Amino acid sequence: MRRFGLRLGRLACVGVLAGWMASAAAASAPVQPSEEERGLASELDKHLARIFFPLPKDIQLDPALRAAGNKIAAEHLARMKAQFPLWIQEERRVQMGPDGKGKPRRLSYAALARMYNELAFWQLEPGDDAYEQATLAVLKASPMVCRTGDDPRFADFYGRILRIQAMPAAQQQLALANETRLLERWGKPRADILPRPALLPQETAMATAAQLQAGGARPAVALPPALAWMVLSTRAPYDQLNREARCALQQWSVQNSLAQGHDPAAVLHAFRYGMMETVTTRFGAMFDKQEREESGDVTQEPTGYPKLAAQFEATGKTKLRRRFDAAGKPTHAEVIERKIDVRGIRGVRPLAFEDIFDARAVRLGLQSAPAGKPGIKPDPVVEMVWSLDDAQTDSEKQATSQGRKP
Amino acid sequence: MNLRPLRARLARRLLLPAALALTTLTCSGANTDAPLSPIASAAKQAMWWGDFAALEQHNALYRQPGRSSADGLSELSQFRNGVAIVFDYKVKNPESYMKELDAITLQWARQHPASGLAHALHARALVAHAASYRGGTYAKDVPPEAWAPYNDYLNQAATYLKDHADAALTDSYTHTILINIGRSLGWERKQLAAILEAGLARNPEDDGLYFAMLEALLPKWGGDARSLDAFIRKAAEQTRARLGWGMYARLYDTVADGQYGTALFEDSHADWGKMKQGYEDLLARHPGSHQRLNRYAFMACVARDKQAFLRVIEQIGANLRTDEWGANPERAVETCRRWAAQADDAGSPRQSAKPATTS
Repeated sequence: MRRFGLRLGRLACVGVLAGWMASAAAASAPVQPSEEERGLASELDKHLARIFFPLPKDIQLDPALRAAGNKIAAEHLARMKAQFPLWIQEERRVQMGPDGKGKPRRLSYAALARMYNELAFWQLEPGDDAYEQATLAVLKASPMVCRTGDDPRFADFYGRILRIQAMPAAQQQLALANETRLLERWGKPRADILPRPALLPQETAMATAAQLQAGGARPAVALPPALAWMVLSTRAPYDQLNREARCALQQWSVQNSLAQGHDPAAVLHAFRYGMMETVTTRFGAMFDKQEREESGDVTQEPTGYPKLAAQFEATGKTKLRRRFDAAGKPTHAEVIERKIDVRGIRGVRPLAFEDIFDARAVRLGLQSAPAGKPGIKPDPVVEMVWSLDDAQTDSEKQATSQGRKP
Repeated sequence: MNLRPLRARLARRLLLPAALALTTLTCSGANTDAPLSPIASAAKQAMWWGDFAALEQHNALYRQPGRSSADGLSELSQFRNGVAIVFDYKVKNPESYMKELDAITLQWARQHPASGLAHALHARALVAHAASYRGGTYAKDVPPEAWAPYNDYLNQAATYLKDHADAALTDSYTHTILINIGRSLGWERKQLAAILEAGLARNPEDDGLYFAMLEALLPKWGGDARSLDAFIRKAAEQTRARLGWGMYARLYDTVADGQYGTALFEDSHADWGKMKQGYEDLLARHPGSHQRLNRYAFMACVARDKQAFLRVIEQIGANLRTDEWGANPERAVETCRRWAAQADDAGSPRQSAKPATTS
């Protein structure tokens, strides 16, 4: 196994997080710690309320269900409003410098990372058996539950309420109670989450689409026209599909997997993993765009330390498996293992950051051809180390490559 | 039912653009560029995302008697127009799109074998698949290699409906689709008429059936002005209690759009007096319909009925709908107004240049 080291200095914040940072900076003035903590916590609170829990007014929802959803959201926001200052205090204790204070920016990002990670856990955790069965039944039979619109604010909580609306009336109250219980787990110790599927549903679905385009075997379930158009006619890659289409493709994958007799619990877990919004899916494209603009060549895909990862002080290791052509040039690379650490996330998996190095690792894995000594096959497995210790140039990265394992 | 195709090849090659009917058969010429009614929009969305359960619910509702919009267009027609947009969508790489439409409609039909709509939708998908090979161009411009798959998919659709006739024919949408298949494959007119009558027996208020049959009788599809007139008169009689002379006006409207244009009164047996009465009857049933008023004004101009034109254009006021004013609408409005403002007496109504048939 080959090891790469990537090191880069910290980078300035950008994009949607800029507003958050501005607030954090304002709170960094030398004021009483408790006020600062309250200020930081208040920004977190507003962020959560603004981004994640509105039920859109212009979309048809049963009034009773809308009221119940709004009540659950309000209760959750109130709970988190009480928790966020505690998170900041806890983080300050962990980060405390010689002056007895943590750096506000670090406090802010650490707390934000924790919040996104709670969101990711919430998106993955199952409910009780009845809730799971009802959710599967809805995903099998109700195509419109993915129609949350393209506004990212409506993807999380509203998507769940839409699914509940599609359930029989008798199951709706039980499902709402499940939603409350799932939200009450925020900030508490977590049970183990099933591992990330080897292949996410979108990867399997896009492979099926390619097979269909090539005239190969048909899947058990036909694609709805919207997906047939987007995936087969326009041949759009998954990451270029809009939010509704991505959800519809995930839903189709559920139907197709169930029709093939796959384990329902595993199918639902895969659906949730496929739908999970990580920090990368939320902000990655925006940060990549800025990196390209800063490099002076917007056509060049960035290969340095991901700016988004630097912002959250995410570090770790990524293990890749690669395939090579006869000349030893890598033709395929896939991430097979990740070990990620993020400031602010302790004692739980950093689910929201698991994929933060994936795209960059694959890009580097495909670019970094082996030395090519005659007769020596390149290692199929390579490990990349993502560290923020020092700023280094690309040539230095190669120099830090370490010895190979058998 | 005998679905024997006849003389398809010869007839087809003589015909003007197929536009495969199923877009043009939509009553009152639904234009997909125009804003969709809420019913059409909901149907399009349900079809687009594969929500067949919703389609079944809507279809069951809209085929109930007496359901029409403020413009007098039946809700069933609006529903089918919305669904048709998905079938007739022009896409890149059409084969894979069409295959999925075939597959998903067949999937629903197999899961719901008693649903007439389910079978009709699968046949509709096969017809759309056929149309994707032929395109909407003139027959002379269709690549020779396209005719074989075109015919093949049309025949598949006919065979499918024959094989599932018991369930499929419980929904008059099937009859509409069959008429269009028959027209494209050159079935005898007598056979199409039998399908029409069977469809009307199933749902007497399914006005789409008349428009499907009308399309098959246009001269460009091998029909003639006399048989067209006979059919329209009969249709008007059959719907008289419900629509007055409204069906007469609507069908000749469609004939103008689909064949004769502003030469309607010279080249067909259209009777302006009856058409005018038809507009009046429609407006009496659906007062305030800007769509009907605009069409009435345009046809009054085509018929050179200055008195009617002036009266109707005044009623229209600011509610001008240029999409009802023929192929060159902006100019049509302008020239009709200029003509109507002239003080001469050249505004006497035109009558058909041809002798009328008897109904």
